[in-house]
Amino acid sequence: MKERFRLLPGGPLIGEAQILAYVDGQLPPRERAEVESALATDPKAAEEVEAYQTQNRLLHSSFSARHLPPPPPNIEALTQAIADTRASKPRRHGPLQAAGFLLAMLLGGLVFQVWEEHDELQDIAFFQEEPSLSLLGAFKDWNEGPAQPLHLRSQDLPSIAPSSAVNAIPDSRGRAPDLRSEGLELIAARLLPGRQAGAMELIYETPERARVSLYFGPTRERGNPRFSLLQEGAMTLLFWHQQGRSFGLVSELGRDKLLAVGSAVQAAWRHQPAPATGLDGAANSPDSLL
Amino acid sequence: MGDPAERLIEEVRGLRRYALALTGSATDADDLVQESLQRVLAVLRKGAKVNNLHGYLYSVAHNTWMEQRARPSGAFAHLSLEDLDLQLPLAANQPARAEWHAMAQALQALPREQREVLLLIGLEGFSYKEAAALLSVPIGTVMSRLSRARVALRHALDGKRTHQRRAQ
Repeated sequence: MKERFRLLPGGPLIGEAQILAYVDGQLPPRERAEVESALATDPKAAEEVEAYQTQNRLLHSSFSARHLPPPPPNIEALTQAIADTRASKPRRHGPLQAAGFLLAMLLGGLVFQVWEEHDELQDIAFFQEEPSLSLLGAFKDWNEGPAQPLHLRSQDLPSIAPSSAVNAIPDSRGRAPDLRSEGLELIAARLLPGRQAGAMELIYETPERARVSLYFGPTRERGNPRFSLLQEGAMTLLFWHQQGRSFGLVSELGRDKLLAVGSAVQAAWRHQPAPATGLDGAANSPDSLL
Repeated sequence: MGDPAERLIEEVRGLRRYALALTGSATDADDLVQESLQRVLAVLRKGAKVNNLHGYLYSVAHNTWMEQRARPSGAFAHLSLEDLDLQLPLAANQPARAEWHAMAQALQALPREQREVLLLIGLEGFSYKEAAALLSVPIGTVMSRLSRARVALRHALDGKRTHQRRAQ
């Protein structure tokens, strides 16, 4: 917006943007007081403010919700259905529980909060200071539901531009491991932001449409980089630390297949840079783990 | 108004008001609201939790409207003010019919992007940042559109008043 400033005799500088922000109640108290003081000595600016305030009043009186006709039955029914759905207890199912468990193990409870505390995440998603479009897209897709991951091809992943907002997301510039040698095609990726850091989920699929989810995020752990394996119902969970990151795999493909996939991921990651986060990443030696 | 169901009814009422001002037609507004609510319901039924329902509803409505406008069905054909007049019940305490007409006409004459920003901020009370996130545009773009919309609306309404005074 082209700024039109007025230099008032003995008064502060007041611009078009300030006038608009004043009318819309977007100014902090101190700046608001400055504008009010400027308006007292600038009749033209005061007239402009009055005109815009009248616009707002007229908008409200013209389109007051109280004067709307009653909602048609289909809208009433949809409203009721949304209310019922929101009131009902969220469904829990095996894979999600297993993934939540794995993430909790991986990131010390950090990402587990992703599944439990959507409030804060939505705030991050909607009110970041001009996040990059790709990040915003990722957040928005994530907001639309865990069942709708952001669809990115492996070659697109490095294009998630780094920014102040994306710095919180580990490995956002990392390249997704190519697991085609294991019969797995990357089909989707999504960012799972957390309070201090976050995680990334990559979803791979076999030709038979069986899926493997790979989670990774930064860690302070300097522990044993060997694989840990856990069976949770039909789900197999595999996790390990490597180069300052925690990794987790979750799938119904079974122990042997998951170990092979884990090995391939580990090998693929040997050439990745350490995560650029505030966490003190440990450079674990990626020795042979099997 | 602590009951979540009541809050939702209030949200939908606000969304209908916004849709009416945006589309300029009660029928199109309810079509837009209905399709938006269907999308929100589908997302919720997939297990997603949406806590910021206020912003989410408007965000979905924005996307839905963009898609509806892109459809070649002609569903969003321009409606004359006479059509609007027939569709909108005006209560006794609403501004004079001529004033309402002037506002409706001036709003519909604004470019879509400017109208959206003006309504989100001036009518629905979203902050600049919220509107920017909701429309997926930088905050500077929001302010620029808002400024142009306000100036255009002011000129249009001033022009109408002058015309009315001359006619009297």
